[in-house]
Amino acid sequence: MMASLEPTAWRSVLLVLGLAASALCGPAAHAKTVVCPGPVTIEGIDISHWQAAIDWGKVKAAGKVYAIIRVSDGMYKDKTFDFNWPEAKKQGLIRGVYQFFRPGQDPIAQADLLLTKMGKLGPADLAPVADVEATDGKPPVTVAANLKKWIDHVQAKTGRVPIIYSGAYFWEDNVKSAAFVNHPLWHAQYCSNCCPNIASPWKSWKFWQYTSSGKVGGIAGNVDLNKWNGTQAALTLFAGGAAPPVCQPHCEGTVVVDKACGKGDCAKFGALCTTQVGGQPKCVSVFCVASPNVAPVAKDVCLPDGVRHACAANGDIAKKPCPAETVCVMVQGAAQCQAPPKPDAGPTDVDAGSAPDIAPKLDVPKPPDATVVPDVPAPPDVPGAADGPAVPDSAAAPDVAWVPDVGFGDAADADASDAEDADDAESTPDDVAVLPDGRAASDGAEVGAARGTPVADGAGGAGAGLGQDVVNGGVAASLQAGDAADPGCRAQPVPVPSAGVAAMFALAVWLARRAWGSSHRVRRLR
Amino acid sequence: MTRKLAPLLLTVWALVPARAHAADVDLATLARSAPVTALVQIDDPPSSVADLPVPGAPKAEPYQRYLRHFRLVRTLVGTAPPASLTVDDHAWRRQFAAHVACVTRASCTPPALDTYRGTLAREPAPGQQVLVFLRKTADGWELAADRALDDAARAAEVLAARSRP
Repeated sequence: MMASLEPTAWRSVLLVLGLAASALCGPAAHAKTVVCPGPVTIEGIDISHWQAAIDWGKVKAAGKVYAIIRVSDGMYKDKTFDFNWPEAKKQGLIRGVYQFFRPGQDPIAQADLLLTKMGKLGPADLAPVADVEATDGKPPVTVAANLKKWIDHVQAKTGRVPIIYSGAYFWEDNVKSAAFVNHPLWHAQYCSNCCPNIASPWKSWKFWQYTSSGKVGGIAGNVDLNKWNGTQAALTLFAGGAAPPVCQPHCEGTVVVDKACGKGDCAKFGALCTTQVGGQPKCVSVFCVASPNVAPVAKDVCLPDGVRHACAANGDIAKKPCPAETVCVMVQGAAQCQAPPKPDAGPTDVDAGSAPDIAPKLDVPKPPDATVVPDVPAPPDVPGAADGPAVPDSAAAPDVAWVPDVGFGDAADADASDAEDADDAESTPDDVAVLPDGRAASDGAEVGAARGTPVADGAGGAGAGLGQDVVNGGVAASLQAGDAADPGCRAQPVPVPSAGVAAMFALAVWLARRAWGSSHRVRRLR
Repeated sequence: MTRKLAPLLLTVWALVPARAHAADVDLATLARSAPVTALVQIDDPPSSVADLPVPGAPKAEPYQRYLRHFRLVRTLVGTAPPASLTVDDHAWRRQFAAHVACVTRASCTPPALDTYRGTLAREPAPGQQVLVFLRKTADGWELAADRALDDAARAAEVLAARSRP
């Protein structure tokens, strides 16, 4: 078979084998990595006394976000640093300091010079930079050893991981070390329409100095221009001393996790986290979706406060009050505005199994003081939100859409640990019920539970237990005793007892306990 | 009134350091005024620093005398400097005097220096060829203006500027 091949075919086989061998066994010493910039880069400059007097206001106006300022050339101080360093900060630029590293000079003395001139770093200050582009006639092993001393010293004193500035050819010819790969790389390569060809063993770069002949307002003559490989938010985080975390936006139960790994708990706003709207995590009212895995549909719903709300297909919910003299009633899953039930109706024996309408159970606790709580607003840093409380448990507000004016529960920031006994009932708002553990609560879900309606447990329970039935007990029955409940309208949400009723009930229990000296407690709901 | 204010104004005037005006010079001006223009290669190390103590104040911050090191490639204008060339900053003795005045008398007025606006944005690297504009002094060689270095590609512009009347 092999012998039957023509000479030209043999040549082809050998050529292919040769190419494969050269690809596999090619020179590795200068195996550079080409890393193109990402879709978003941020422009900045680096300067030294070569830029002379700088008008920093104009630099800022020119759109430069950051400036990396030379402190010295080895032990030779840059005469303009003392002016440039504070001026850059005054203009609100993210600033950094670099030192032209001299392998032939004492690395600790150089580092100390930088540390002294730089002072304490602030949150908008980049980690110090070692500008590695000279050997001072030293061999690579000496350059690397002295650089390590410099880096260790600066890192120990600042707590920040120093950045290394260098070009691929210089590094691979004159440093030849893989010991610094964990340091952010500021790559130097002058080309406009190319991708950086960075030194081995780095696989990515943070900054790229792409020209030394840039023109920027406020600077006479040429100046080095740089790109930060990422967003301005990421740069700001980086300047704060921590590498920006990257997350795939998703839901963790009721918690929204955004791309910056910021978290916000939808349950605090009586909502579920779902990715069913546009594929991005979003808080959607539990009255609009029955499960995080179900896309919201446009419909009207009655909330436990008796106000009709409109759920949009995108999960937003907004008030849609019924006309005067009517109340919102759920009929076969649809909200209708009907005349209110007669007030003289007897107590309703609500059958949990027969109540088809979902008043989802929320793990939203009561308002702190059980006073009147305004509608739950959206968190402030969330697109589409006007204003409102910050999302707790989050370093950065989640970059997710939000359901404005959730409008139920009204207990967004309530603390479940604020358990109160019935003594506090006299200060409770209208829609306060007594929870199974005896505390007052104003969220509609728990009130719904007290009425024996099927309870959606998604909000507080990470989406689990949706549709779970909760059997109500005596307290709930007592609360409903004075309420108007039309036997023919079991699906209708029963109006929440007024504060006066709740207060009187609580007072009665308290007096009874005191009078009898017993340890009677409010019967708990199951 | 004027008599009362005069001492105050004088005090303020004395305390506020005057802003020295530094003249910017362009290539044509520098090419005509510099006695020597040479194409040089940046040595490695490209510079060295000598700390000069302040006379009478040994504990004061010393002056850093910055010396650049070049290798001569070609002389474009003037007398050829040595092949291995060490060059001081422009007007370094005036800068030294200003430093002494600053650390001893708190009179920190920077000297007015002619500053060249060239195309270099940063310190040239070792091995790089640049134009350097020089003048001879009693101490040796110094830059003819502050930052009197430029891209080697501008050699023709220097010669053209020199040939113009």
